[in-house]
Amino acid sequence: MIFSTLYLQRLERVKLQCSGCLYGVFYGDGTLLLLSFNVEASVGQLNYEHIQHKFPAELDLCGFVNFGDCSDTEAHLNQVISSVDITDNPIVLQCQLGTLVGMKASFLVHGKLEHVPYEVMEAPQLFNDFCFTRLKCGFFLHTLPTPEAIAKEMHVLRKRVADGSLVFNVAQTKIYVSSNCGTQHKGFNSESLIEDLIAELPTPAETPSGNKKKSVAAASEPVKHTGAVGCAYDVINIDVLRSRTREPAVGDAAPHPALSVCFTQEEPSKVQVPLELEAMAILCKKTKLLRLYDVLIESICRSLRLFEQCLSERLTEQEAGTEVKLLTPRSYHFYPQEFGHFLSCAYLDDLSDDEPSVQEKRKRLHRQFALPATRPYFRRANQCHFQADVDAAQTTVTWTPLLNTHLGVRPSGVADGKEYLVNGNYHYYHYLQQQIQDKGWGCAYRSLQTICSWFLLQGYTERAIPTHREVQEYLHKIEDKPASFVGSSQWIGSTELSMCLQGFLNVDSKILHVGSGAELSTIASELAMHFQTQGTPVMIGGGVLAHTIIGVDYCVQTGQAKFLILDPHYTGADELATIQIKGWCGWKGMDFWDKKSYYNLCMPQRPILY
Amino acid sequence: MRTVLLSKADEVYLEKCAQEHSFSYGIIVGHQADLTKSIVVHLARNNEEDADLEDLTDVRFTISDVNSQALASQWLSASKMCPGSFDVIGIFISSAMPEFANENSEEVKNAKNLFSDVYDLLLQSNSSFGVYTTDMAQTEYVFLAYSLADKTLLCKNFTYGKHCKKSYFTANIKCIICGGTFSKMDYRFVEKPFEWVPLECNYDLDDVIPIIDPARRINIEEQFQNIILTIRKYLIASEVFLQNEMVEDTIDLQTYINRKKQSDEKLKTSSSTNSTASGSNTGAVHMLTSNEGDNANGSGNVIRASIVMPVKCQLNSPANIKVSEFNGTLRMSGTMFSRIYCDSRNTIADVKRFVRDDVLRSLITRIQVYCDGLTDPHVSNEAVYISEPPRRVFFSIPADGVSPSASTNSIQFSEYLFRGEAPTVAVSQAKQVLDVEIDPEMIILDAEGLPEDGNFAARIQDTDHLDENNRTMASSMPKRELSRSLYMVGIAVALLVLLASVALHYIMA
Repeated sequence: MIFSTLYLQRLERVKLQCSGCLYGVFYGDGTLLLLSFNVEASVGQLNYEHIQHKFPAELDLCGFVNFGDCSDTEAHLNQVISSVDITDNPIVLQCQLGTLVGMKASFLVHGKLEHVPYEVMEAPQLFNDFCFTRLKCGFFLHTLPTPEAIAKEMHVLRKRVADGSLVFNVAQTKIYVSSNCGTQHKGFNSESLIEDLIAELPTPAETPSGNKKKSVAAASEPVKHTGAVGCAYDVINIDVLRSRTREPAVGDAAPHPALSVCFTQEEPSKVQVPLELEAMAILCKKTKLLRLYDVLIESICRSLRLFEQCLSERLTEQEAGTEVKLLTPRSYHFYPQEFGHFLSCAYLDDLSDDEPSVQEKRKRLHRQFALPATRPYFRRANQCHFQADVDAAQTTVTWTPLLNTHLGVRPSGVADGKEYLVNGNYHYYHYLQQQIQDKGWGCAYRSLQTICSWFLLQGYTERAIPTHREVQEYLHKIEDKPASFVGSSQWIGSTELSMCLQGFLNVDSKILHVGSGAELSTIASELAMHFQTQGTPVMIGGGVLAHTIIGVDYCVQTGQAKFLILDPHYTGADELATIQIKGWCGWKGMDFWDKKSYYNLCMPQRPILY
Repeated sequence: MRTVLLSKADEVYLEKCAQEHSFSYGIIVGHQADLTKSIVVHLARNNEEDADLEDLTDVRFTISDVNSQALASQWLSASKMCPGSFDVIGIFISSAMPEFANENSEEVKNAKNLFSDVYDLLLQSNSSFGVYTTDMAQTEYVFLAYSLADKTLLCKNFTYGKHCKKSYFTANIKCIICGGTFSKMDYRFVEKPFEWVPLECNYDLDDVIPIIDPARRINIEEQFQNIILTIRKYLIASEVFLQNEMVEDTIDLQTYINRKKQSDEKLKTSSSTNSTASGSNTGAVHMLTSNEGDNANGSGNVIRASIVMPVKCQLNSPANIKVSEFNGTLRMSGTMFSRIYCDSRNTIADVKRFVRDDVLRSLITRIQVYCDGLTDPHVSNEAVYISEPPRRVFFSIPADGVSPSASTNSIQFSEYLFRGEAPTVAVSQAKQVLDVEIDPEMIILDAEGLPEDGNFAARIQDTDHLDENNRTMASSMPKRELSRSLYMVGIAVALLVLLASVALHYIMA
């Protein structure tokens, strides 16, 4: 049995007496990797029933966890244990609150607990040894708008999915996986593994690419071309097809009947619900390719169940209302950094994230996963962006700035220092982007854009990044600036930034004054605290320059500190290598600051939102 | 320059036409082997006016007298009957007179008008069912003129497409300024009979489509048009496997066959040494056995093609589909059988296109035949209405004067028969359109079975049955309670009787 470190960190954070369910993946010769857990409520239906379909296929319920001396353990234990399908010997885990000391893991064998030792898998190994599949397909559901009818039709649909006629195509390749012939490719045989398949995936270098991709490949750290933004796993994209050809009738059997068409009037009228789903599964790269077909089918079925749940819930909620109306469900994948795995939700189109019922569901989900209800994890804006989609978007007109440019910069070199970094993803905005001639005056605007991108990518908002013009118009609107300011090339400072953040995103900021550049070392600990608790990029303005601070490396003993600076004054092309080598994004010492100028820091505070 | 390949039999046929009728015209069924070579598969004289001409045998005929209407209708019928790998590729003229095969004769100029007329007619009749193939319509045709007196053959390439600078095209591809041009074209008689590689495929229709227009009565023709358009779109996006395998588009059919033979032999030897085939290579074993089965049946090495289609709600922008309400459905079921013949020089991409074309052609044809026979295009007011388009039957085309059954490279064309229709219908159609005599006994009727008439009834019953089951399950609870209360009542009555009798006993006593 193996735990991932991410998983242990999550266990450690549980500070309340409670019990929960364990989720894991079996791989190799019956090795179990524990990847996730949820927390059970002390009353009512088990949460497990609610969330089991949200996990990627192959990540299944495998046991029970108890935090502290929880009183409802006994009641839950039997119920959970009886739901475990993937093994005869479920895991029972006993944890102390807030610490991993004294954690005991056991197998339940014939009603008796057998203590087992466990190993720990570090995150990099986890990301390297496992991968995810992500397939897209679409079905039509023809149903009466009642939960019973939906359950029945969904059952029929799942049976159809599993009838062996589906064929899978690994996106951008000629590799097909079918039920009767397995995975077809010259280099594959019955012993081939998932990692052989990954090796066959086309790299961006092979596909016609622009300058941007080349620079990504040239960066010091190899960037995954088959993953997702902010996620180190490989993701295999898969398209779904259905074989329309039946095996010919053999021997004396009657030939297949010819085409006939039946027109039926439906009374009462039914609805057609399009189910465009995206299904995910987790796989160890050492798994045999022969398993792939079944895993993919299971992932579709799981997604269909999730859709079914989503549609039925909608109908039961609506029962009080007058008109029953079904909406189109859609899959959303989330990759909370704490989890180390994907989680999928189905949301209905035209039902906004701020709808009270939707908010209530998200709140419950936070509780079930022991996540704080102070920051968003499962809003639509939090959804994971997959590289394949990003690449597709890039070939069209939309332009996106570079993401997380600090990944792979040279270390700061602070002796015994500890790094405190921005928590989450951001885009690097700098001079001259989007054809705006802002050289010499736009640095603070660009810093604001970088901060806004952080809030956008973290799912706090869906508002587009504000343009220079919008910023100026807003500042004029709130009567901070005269009308002549709009359309001018005038600077803005930390206070204006904080007003804009308030106006655009409803985000409060803390303003910190520093008398001179020399005094900046004194606020290093405060910055460290900011990155630990808030994790947002900080704008610093002083003299005539504005910069974005995205991290601090600080040694408590010596007081030595360096700042990770994202410089908006860069005027070149969006090439990561240049930006990192020339130091437009990099660690800066105290000599970076002007000793005589005074500085203002704008430190945005995360709003409480879920 | 394009080259047309003809067999000896074609020359004999042209000769025969000129001898027997002094002036004949007809269509050329052909196959595009590669970019530069077309193979003449079959020549069919148009016999539409034979009946009217009995007493006018010595009337001299010229191209300007050709009935373009008759030619167009033969053209259309023949293209419905030939497999997806073949097409009507042009027109031939055969005359006993000299000068017919002379490039500079007046007759050849008239031929241009004939092509133009026929093309207009084809466009008109096609417009009702719109799309005909999965691909672009062809723009190049073959014109053959044979003169018995000179024993010469003239071969010309006719182009409707982009050739004059002021090109102005009608809805399809014909330039209405110049009407098309003739250009040089080679021809060659081939001694050896053409070798055809047969491919088979069946396409399974199992779809339920909602009918969203509630206001009007359901128009069958309209619904069928929609089906054709949808299936065509998905067919174009589909992938075709050969022997359950993905084969790259770029190689040619011969390379594929050679490769297949090698790997099969390898498998044969390996499976004979290791007689218990492990589960891991069941795929390959399956392929091998299916080949052996074919050999045993004597039907030669038929390559089985299968069609896989994308599973998507909408092929393009999936983002904008909404939930919709409907009060009628159209359920398709059954299969369509395809058998096509390819040249070993065809690329795999072509082979795949032919398979798709054949499926689409078969679908459109049977629906067209069905709709032509409708008296009222609307569904009657019954709750369930079943349409049964005719099914496809196959017959061999006699080639090289050899009996079709004995010849290994005989090719089959197809016709469509309604339930209860006699095969003789196909015999007369073959005579009329393709100018071939076929034996009704030799018509292959079992490629497609009769539509299961019990199919829908069973399905409806099935769902009813299911409902009933649910109902009984739902009602089983109250029933049990009912029987329990019956018991109670029974016991109570018995007790009462007992008490009464005891009381009576004492009273009596």
